[in-house]
Formats: sequence, structure tokens, C-alpha cells
Amino acid sequence: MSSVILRVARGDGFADYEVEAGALTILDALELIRGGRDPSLRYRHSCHHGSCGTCGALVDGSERLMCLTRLSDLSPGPVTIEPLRKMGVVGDLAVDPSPLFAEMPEGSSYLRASESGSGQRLEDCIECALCVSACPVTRPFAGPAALAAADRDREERPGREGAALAFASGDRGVAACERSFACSRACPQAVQPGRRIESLRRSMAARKG
Amino acid sequence: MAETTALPFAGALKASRRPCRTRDLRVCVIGGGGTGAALAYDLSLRGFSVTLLERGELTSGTTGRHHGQLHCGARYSLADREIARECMEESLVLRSIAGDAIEYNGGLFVELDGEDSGLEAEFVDACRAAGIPALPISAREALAMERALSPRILGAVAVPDGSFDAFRLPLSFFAAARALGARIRAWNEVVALETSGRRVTAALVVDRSSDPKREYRVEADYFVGACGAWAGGLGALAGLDVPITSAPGTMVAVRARLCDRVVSHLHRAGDGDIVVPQRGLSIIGSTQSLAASPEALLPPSGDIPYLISLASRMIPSFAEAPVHAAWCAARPLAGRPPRLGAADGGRSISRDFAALDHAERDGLAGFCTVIGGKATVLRAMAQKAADLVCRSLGVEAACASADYALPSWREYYG
Repeated sequence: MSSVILRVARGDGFADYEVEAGALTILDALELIRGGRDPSLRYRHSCHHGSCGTCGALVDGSERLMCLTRLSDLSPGPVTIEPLRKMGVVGDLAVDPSPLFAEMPEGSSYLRASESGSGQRLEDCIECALCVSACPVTRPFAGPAALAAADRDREERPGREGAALAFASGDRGVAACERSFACSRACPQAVQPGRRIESLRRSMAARKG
Repeated sequence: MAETTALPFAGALKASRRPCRTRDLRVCVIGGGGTGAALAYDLSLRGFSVTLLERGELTSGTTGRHHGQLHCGARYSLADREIARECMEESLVLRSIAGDAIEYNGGLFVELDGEDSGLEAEFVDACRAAGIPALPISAREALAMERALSPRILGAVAVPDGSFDAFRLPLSFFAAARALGARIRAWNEVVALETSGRRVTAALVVDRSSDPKREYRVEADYFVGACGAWAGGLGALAGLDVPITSAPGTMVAVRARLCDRVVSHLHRAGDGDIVVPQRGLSIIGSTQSLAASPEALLPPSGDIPYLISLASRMIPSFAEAPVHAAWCAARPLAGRPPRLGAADGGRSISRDFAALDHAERDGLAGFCTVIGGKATVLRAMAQKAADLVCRSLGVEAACASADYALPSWREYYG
């Protein structure tokens, strides 16, 4: 394996670590670092397969899930790894995701019909906050994850359409979106929050007649 | 599904209780995985003053890496009827209290050869004896239910399995515990246990939840170790030898939802015999080996093609889907194998769980360790441990953790 240097946010600065053999992903590499050289390195992780949404970070400035970012896809480095933007601070790479959850529309849907139509499954959004971190909007804004959830509600649960559109038309709603689509590019689950925001806009316009 | 009601707010719950002796008793739970989550909630419902300490992020050990199968118990029916029965009961409880975190689509045990078919009658009898409604169906019926199944299967048995979000389910327990007043402290590592007169009295904690780190003590009337495969390290802080075996397993996820039901190989036990759907993914699990430490486990590279080949016996298109991720999780087995290199990877060790009372076992009061168990029975593990806490402290308080619908996991951060 070619050697990759990870330049990881650590305390007030950065620490460089050479990746050890055996690691396939950035998260694997951090696990080896914390299991050996640096036991107090902080990063969030849980499922290790892109399902829990905890291990988001900026990799050379772009939002990625570290568990799905393969070392073989990186430049030899140093590859800079920093915490997500717009979240609360814990330390090193670890953030407090409360700002994301504070915006989620109350009671928005979790389960939907599965692809086969005969079963049910969890919604695609894993609430990883990559889209929120990537969004360039600086005004008060519910953000792409919350608005995508509202649009899924509008689509899936007719009884909730009014609430979803009220949410989208509110003070923190779609009006602040600058249509950069950085959210859709960052999303690891192809939720396409940017397209969802456009869909809300169309629904709002249709309702106005 | 059992009837549940909304969780009462802490004030209402406490006001509604009979005069209760638990209120002034402090319990410190160490370990922020699924067991710790359910335990913090159970103890809080019983009225204890609870502090939970976790050295890293919540669910960052074995819990979150679970493949997510909500076991109805059929997998264990041939080997251990009581574990199977408990899984069946607990899967229904979890569905009733945390339905939003569960894809409840059922499961199929498929027969790949004549030996599997020969086992069908025994398997169905064992399931039914454990209270699991197992229904034999033809290969044609199974293929109509799950089109991606191999057309070469000989038959199948339908069971009430499901899959759950291994992060959200415990987070709902944490949210409930916090709503009842529990202090849930991630990034807080226990670095020493203080004892006085053969009793654990305090934990020395390093708080890394913000910079600079700080140290403090947590005094409590009782301490519960819920560190899963890491239980040995905590026990060592109190000078104890805790019999725990770390048995890692590899899982591989591919980017395709190939089935809605959990698809299992109808055989006695072995590698790569469960395919679990999860959102847009399908996950094959697992292998089993033994490790000296649960730290920094990565999947051996040979496991990935091996598991994919095993999955494709049940679902051929598994081999064509792009690999999404491969990872390892350390099962916490209660007990020790005859030797570390045991060829069966520790499969001879039961998947049962126990709350080890260190007062009885080691002469050290005020401390127990939860060992063993499986994700599906996390609530039952917590109940057993909380019962021991009550007995040890000489108080009576009934378990109520099956009675209320849990709040959304989003409320943990809300």
C-alpha cells in the first residue's frame, strides 16, 4: 500500500499521522491511530458502513463520511481532515450534531414503503449533517436536511402536506436557499436535498395557484 | 403488538410513584452502548439517580456496528431454546416501544441443499417450542416473496425477523433516560475505580467533551460495568478478572437492497449465513474468530470475497452489487474459550448474558458487570442488571422499560 499522511485536526492545531497497513478507509486509519499512537484522539463513529451518519468530516475541504472514504482514492497527501462546519464543538474531529437535529421538522417521517412495495424501510436520509456543513447559506435557515425531510413528508404522507409547506414557507424556509446544490453533491445517500427544496418551491407555488 | 403509552415526563413519573427509596440512590453506569443505554433508562424509570459514562461517542463500540438483524430467535432455536424464546419476546417489545427504528418485514430461512431440507422439521419444531411462529413454505412461494433468492433453493421457513437501525434504537433509550433526568456523558472515560472497605465507592473520570480536558470523581452507591467486549479493562481497574471473550465478526455491505426480509441459511451454525436489508443496502454477516483485544479491529481482506461468495449462495445478485463497506465488530462473549485459537471461533461459548455480582463472586461490593448477550435482548439485559442493583441496594422497584413508547432518537440531541 502506498503511504498516505493524514493531517488531522487535533486540539488547537493539526497532527500528522502516517497510515498503517491494513486500513482501507479513513475511519479504519483513525481506529489504528487511536488503538496505538494516540488513544485520546476524538472522532465520532458507530456503524462503519454509512448508515448511522456520525463520522462526517471535511476531507481536503469536502464533506465526506470517513467510513466510506477509501484511502486508495486519496492523493498521497498530506490529506487534511477537519470537523464538519456549523455543528457544535467537542474537540479534534468530533462535533455535537445538535444544530442539525434542532432544525428537523417535528414528527417527520422515518419509515416508508420499500422498493419492492411489499415491505417497509427506513428513509434514505441518515441525518449525517454533510449537507448542512456544505451549504453556503449564512442567513437563518432550516437547512437542506430538514427541508428534504419536509418534502419527503409532503410526498409520502398527504395528511402532513400542509405542515410541510408551512415549514418550507416559514422564516427559516426555502427562501434562504441560494441554489448552490452543494447539499446534493455532499449527500452520501443520494437524497438530493437541493432537488427536494426545488420540489417544495414548486408545491408552494402550485398551492398559491 | 403490546399496548404502550407515551413516556411520562420525569416530574409526572416521580410524582405518580409511591414513596420510593430509590430516589436518593446513585447508580453509575459505565459504557455507552446498547446495554448501557437500556440500563440508564431502566434505572431512571425505577427512580434511581443515574450517571452514564462513555469514553468515546455513544454506540461507538460493538453496538453501532451490528448488522441490524432484529432476531425473532429462530437462529438460536436449535442450540438454545431459552435464548430463542427471549429473542422472540424482546423483538416484540422493541417493536412496540421503538417501532420507528425497525424495518419489520419478516425473515426467510432458506434451504440450499438436501442436508438443510432434512433439518427443516427439527428447526420448525424447535422454533415453535420457543414460541416462534415458523411456517414452512415451498421454494416457489419463497421466490414469490423475495425475487432475488437463488432459484436453486429447495424450500424455506418464514419467521418474524426484522432489521433495525443499530444507532437509532439505542439513541432512543438514551433520549428516554435523559428525559427522566439521567446524566449521559459521552467523551468521559473512567480511568480508575476507588474502593473503600471492599466496596467500590467512586470512579475517577477524564472529561474530554471539551478542551481542555478535566478530571473529576463520580461517587455512587452502585457501579455497573456495561462495556461489552471492553469489560475486562474496566474490571482490571478494580483488580478483578472478568471472564469476557472478544469474538470479532466481519460484515460486508453492498449497494443494493436485494430483499426486504432477512434471509438466513437454514443450517446449524456457520459463517456468512445472514443477509440483512438496511435502507438501500444489503449486509452479509458474519465470520467469527477470537481476538485478544477488541481495540481497532479491521476486517481481514480475505473475509470480503469469502462472505460475498457465501451470500451469493442465497442471493446470487449479491456478488454483482458494488461493495459499499466492510467492517468488524467484537461480540462480547460471556466466558472463555478452551484456548484463544479455538477452531470454532468461540462458537461453543453461549450467546447468553449474565450480570456478574462482584460482591458474591469477588468479595467486592457495589459493583457488577453485564457480560454476554446480543443486541436484540438489550432491554432484557438491562432489566436483569437493574434487578441486581435493586437487590444489592436492598430496594424494591419493578422494571417498567417495556411499558412506554420511547421518544425519537432525534430528541437525544434536541
